[in-house]
Amino acid sequence: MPAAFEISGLRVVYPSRLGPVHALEGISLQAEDGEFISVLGPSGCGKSTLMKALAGLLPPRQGSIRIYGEPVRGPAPGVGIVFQSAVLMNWRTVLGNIMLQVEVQRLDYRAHLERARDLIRLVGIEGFEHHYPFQLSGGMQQRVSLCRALIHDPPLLLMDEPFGALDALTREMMNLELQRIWLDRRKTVLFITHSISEAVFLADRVVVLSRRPGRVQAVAQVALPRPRDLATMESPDFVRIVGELRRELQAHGGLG
Amino acid sequence: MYQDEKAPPLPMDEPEEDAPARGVRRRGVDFLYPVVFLLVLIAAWEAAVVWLRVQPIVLPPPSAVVRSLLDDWSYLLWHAWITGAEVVLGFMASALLGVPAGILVVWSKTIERTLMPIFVTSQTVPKIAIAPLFVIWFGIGLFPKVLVSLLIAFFPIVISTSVGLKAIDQDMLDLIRSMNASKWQVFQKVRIPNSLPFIFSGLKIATAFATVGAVVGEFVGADKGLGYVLIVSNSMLETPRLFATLIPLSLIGVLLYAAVVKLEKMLIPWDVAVRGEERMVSM
Repeated sequence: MPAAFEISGLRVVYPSRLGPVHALEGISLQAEDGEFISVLGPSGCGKSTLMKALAGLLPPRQGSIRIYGEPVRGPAPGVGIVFQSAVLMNWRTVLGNIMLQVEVQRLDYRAHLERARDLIRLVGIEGFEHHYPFQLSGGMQQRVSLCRALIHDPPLLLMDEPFGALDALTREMMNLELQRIWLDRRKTVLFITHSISEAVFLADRVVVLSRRPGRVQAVAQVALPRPRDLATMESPDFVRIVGELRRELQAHGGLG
Repeated sequence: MYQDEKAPPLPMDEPEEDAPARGVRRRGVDFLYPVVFLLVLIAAWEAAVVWLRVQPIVLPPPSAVVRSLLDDWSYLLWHAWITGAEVVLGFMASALLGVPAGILVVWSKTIERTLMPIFVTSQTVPKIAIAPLFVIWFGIGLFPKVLVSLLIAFFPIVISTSVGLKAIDQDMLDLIRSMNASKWQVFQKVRIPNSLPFIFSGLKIATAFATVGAVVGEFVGADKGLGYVLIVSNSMLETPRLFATLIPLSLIGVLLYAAVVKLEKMLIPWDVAVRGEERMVSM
């Protein structure tokens, strides 16, 4: 089985009005199938660029990206994406939003309708299928966007600070939910976050990116047993890993 | 329709059982505010004309206007149908041409570069200056009025449509692109539904513009229509009828506006401006 994704020597330079912006430099990263990887780094270190590169949303760049052995050349429908904001379409119901992917890619509608209902149960929003996004809270909207990312059963899930806009309590709950869903579905996940404890809580491996141009500065293995619960966050191992990562980040100017 | 079929009625359609007092105030009494205000203004007008002994030719009292309206109502109604038809046809033509023009301009950079300067320049030419030309070319029938109406109402629709099509969140575009959507799918699934609230703003402005256009068209050459009645009444110094004519004229504009609002509520009940207050389900 090839690696879930394999990035080698990725270098991204954006053109901009103020001259070229050097976003990523020499990124090499591999993920095994079913692995949960968190990416930590200061603002503007190119975390989102890394995600877009994986999703095939960036114009040609240097280096190579493969997803399950296939080189990424354009938009890669084999991935599911969750953004910081839910990015739901106001004019579609919950079910309509989830089915967007199915319509665009002209997949079997009936079969995926079943999947959608199954996912809606999985993330715990049954009964809201026919509600519109504005009728839902932020946490519920993000659950819908998770369903949308999973509807076509992609092996790879990319999440760009998906819970960053939620309040602290909702965020903790969503972390527990995401772990539960991940244990159930076993997707490979690339999870971008600002929060050290969120990164450690969820991940098998935490990757720390440096300031721009972003490079892989450190990698920490998180071997804590699963399922993890809120008590895990008080365990000595958890506290030690979080502390190490914090020192690592601060050594290079903090999360800023 | 850009709304899911199985969706339950939106909150705005629910009877307000939880707040009967508020519901009554909202639905039953709100329209009274402008009505009462207008009645007070009209009473003040009447009183001022009587007390200050203003000549009816200069400013007739409201009572004279009402008398003229009652005396001439069948005459006015007949001319109102003519003007109404011009306004509605001009408005519909501007919508049918303006929305696709807005889509074309956003679809292709080349089309934008070609057409946009022409649209903008044509907008700076006063329509009232072209209207006499239309009389020479097309006579004094219905068509030249519809054409003036179309020319005036077209521009706000093109602009609002193109702005709406471009006003897309970058994440939303990335999302649909990540699904390998074709250019047409991006328009069909994202850009066009997203632009609907903008298009409706343009349409609402266009209702007033279309009315102005039809009247301008009648001013420069007509033998019927409310604009024609205005010109005739003016030249015969029949000021009360001049005022009376304004009533069916503004009614045409108001009815067309109301029809657009009704259509907006039917087509885009999810829009913030349409649904009004936030109603949220928490968990």
